[in-house]
Amino acid sequence: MNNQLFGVYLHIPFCLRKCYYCDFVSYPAKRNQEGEYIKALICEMKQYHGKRVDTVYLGGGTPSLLCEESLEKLFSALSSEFDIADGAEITMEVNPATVDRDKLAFCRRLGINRLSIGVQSLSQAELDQLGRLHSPEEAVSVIKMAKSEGFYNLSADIIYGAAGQSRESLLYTVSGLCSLNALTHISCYALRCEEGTVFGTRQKAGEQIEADGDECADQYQLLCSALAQFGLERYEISNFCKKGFSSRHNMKYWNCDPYIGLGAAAHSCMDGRRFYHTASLEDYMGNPERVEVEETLTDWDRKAEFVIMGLRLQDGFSEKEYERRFGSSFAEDFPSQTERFEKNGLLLHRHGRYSLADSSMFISNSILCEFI
Amino acid sequence: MKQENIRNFSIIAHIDHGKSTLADRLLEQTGEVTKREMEEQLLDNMELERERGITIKARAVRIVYKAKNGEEYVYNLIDTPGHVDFNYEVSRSLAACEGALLVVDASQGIEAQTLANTYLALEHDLEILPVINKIDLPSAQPDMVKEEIENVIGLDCSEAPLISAKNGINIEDVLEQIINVIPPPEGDPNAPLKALIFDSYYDSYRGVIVYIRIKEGTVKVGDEIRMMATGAVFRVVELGYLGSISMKPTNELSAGEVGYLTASIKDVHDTRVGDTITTTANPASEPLEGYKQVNPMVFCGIYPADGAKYDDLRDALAKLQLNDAALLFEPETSVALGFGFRCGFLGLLHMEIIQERLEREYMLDLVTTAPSVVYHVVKLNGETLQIDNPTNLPPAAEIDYMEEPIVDAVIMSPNDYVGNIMELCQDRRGVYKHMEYLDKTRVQIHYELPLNEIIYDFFDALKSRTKGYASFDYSLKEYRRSDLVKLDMLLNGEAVDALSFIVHKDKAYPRGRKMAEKLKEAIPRQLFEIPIQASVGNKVIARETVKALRKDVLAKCYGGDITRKKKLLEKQKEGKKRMRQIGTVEVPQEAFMSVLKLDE
Repeated sequence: MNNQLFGVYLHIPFCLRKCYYCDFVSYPAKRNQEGEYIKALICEMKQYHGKRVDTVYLGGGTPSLLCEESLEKLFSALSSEFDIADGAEITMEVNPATVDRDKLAFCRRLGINRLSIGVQSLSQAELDQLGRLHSPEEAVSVIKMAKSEGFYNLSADIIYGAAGQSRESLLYTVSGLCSLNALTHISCYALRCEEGTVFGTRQKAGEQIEADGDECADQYQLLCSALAQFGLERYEISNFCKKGFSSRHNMKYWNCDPYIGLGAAAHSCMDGRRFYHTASLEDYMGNPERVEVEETLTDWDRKAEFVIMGLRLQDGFSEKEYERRFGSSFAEDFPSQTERFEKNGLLLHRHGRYSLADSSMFISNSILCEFI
Repeated sequence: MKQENIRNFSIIAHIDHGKSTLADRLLEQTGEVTKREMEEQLLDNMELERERGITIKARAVRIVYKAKNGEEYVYNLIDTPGHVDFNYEVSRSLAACEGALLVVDASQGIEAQTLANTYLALEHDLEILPVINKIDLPSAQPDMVKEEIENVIGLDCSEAPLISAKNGINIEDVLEQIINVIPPPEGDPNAPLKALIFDSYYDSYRGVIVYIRIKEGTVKVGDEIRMMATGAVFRVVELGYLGSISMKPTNELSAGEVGYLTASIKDVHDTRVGDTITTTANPASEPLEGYKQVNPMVFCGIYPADGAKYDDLRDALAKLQLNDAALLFEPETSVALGFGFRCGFLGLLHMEIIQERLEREYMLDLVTTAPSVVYHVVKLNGETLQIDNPTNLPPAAEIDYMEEPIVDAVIMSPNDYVGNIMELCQDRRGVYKHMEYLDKTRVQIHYELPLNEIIYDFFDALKSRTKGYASFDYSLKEYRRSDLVKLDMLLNGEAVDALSFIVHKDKAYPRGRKMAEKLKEAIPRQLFEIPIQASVGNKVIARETVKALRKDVLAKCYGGDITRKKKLLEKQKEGKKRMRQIGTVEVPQEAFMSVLKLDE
């Protein structure tokens, strides 16, 4: 397994302000912490020296907040510590409020070749409702600038299923984005109130934050058909792309391939174990190599994860690959589930692959939980 | 202790009239319990009793009182429950006494259970000392209440103590009056032993602990004793008095005394409340007169949520039955619920209490079916059946006719609510008998009501229609022919046996419709649409649909989150496990219970 290809995730836990729905680990941006944090990331990297890597993903938080000096240090460390494959996918998440043309051009020169832009909506009212700091116009102009600076692989995030959000405005956002002729990829997330977020607190106090389930399902259907018309096909429950432009980094998660997570609260998974760091910035920077929690995955854990992650994909997973990894057959490992779900048409078995029926995608939890 | 200086008595009252509070004061005033030990309502030592503010199980305690005449007296206070369902417990406690304190709320006056309990006490030939409580309330009208007691019950109230148990006013009066009004016990300490079992409970260290009242003779530690009804023989290990905080062992108990007995009794079936204990050396020829036998009126199925807990449920029921002779249970099976027990209760409250005790004290997760009364079914071939489970009802074609139990119901209420009460009773197929005025503003209404109309939510409905002022009591009158049908509930086309019930033909449609609506609320949306139907015979009379689930998804699912997301799915799977699989439909356990609370 020495020629294994890893995905590398770098968590940049700084934000100008926390969005109301966000439950990722992040802290108010302070310039003086940035340098120290980058140092810690680089220090942590060293233990993986020489690993072959074909995707790099800078997520957050808000990685686009990092100054040029920090980015430069980070990338020079990445290329000296890792054996980065030719044509590797190198993605950075971008908050439209945090970049200008120069910054984008700089990122491109560093070798970043894919941007995931947090657009969320093209309605100002909805952006305000979500606690976003940018306007629809800023988002659109960042996409245009990115394209002109040579980013040919661009993704945008959209949020739906917020209380009060209309299907019309959702359609407006989708068609507004797609008609820019710049995006190869769109991720659509149903708004979910997580505990510990602003929305979570407000929901507990009785405010309606999420749209009701039926409305949300209608919006999802609308998204699927609208995006298909613009040539963006669903390849995962929440992800849509032009042919050949799926997120290779995220595919590693869904295929249960190995990944290295660097930074506070970042998770890594390799050789049957999954581990992660403390979420505390100070603790992480004090000892960036310390593992907070480590989980050893049993065979059954790995089988279950392979199935529940794989079935998120439009094409599901290959039964051959299942057999190759586990030395047993999926249908024999999960006989009652396979029979029941195949019989009632929720699970498809064709061309040597198992996948969920289109109609099962948005109710997938009810099916996936049976494989745990 | 000389017999002349012993007084055995109960306290009887309508619920909330202050029975337990008075008991607490008596303990405090006589120094039986120090202030520090005093918890409110000491005698109600079941958690459930404290929460509901009612006494469920009878309890006994011994008090030593130094009277004004300089003599010491022993008072054995035997607490009684105040609820209509527990008349049996009252009767059992009363049989161990010579007298009773009748506590009446000075602001409320006589209520339904005041009367019911008083009549029970009179049946046992008890001397009754009326006590007017809560005289410190602004709305108290002690003179009017005294007059009411004299007029309605015919008790002399000229000497009745006027007290406030809550604030400890005139408790001394009660303690003194007990000596004068309540007679000392009789009975020959040298006669063959006759000890009445009036309560018992199971202690995991000492075995069954039996509460006894010695009617005749004497029992000593080491005596060989026989339970006269069951024939079981034991050797007495320990005897003692019932302190409120702890037991006080002694070497012997003799005629007139109240105490406890242990004898390494392991099998709960060997000691029946109501049985007589005698010695094998000098046995009594006749047992004491048994208690009034009570028969359960309400039945339901009780099932363990987890089938593996069947044995635990059986053991728990057996232990509860030990000191609750009115509880019946026998094994039954249900297609929907698996193995469980058909249980018989005195009434709906009794049923709820038993369920709660099983859940709290024995940590059992339960599923219960709709309660049913006992129907008499006469078949065309002349055979007569007693049906307490709708599943056992023969096909309609084989039935000649059916009879249902009818009760005499007495409702007392301020006269403002008479209209509401009559409307409710009429709606429940009641037959109006008569009505009398207790005083200028309070009435007593008599109705005949089918029992199956009051076992669901009659109390609640009555309360809400009378702002809580009405009180209610009932007793079985007779069985009467009635036009009854079996109502089945179908989920996805399959009848669910645990949801069937027997109902009057005219009530089938509204009840079926309500049930379908309730089930629709209780059953979560699933992968497929689920039709819910109510049917009588083969005719569907109501239908609802649980729409198919449309959203159940983790929208965001990336690397690091896997552990957490997996936990969410695990939790969801656990939730599914707790549901009952009926055909292809998953039914939460609450669904079986929630449909019983068919609000108006």
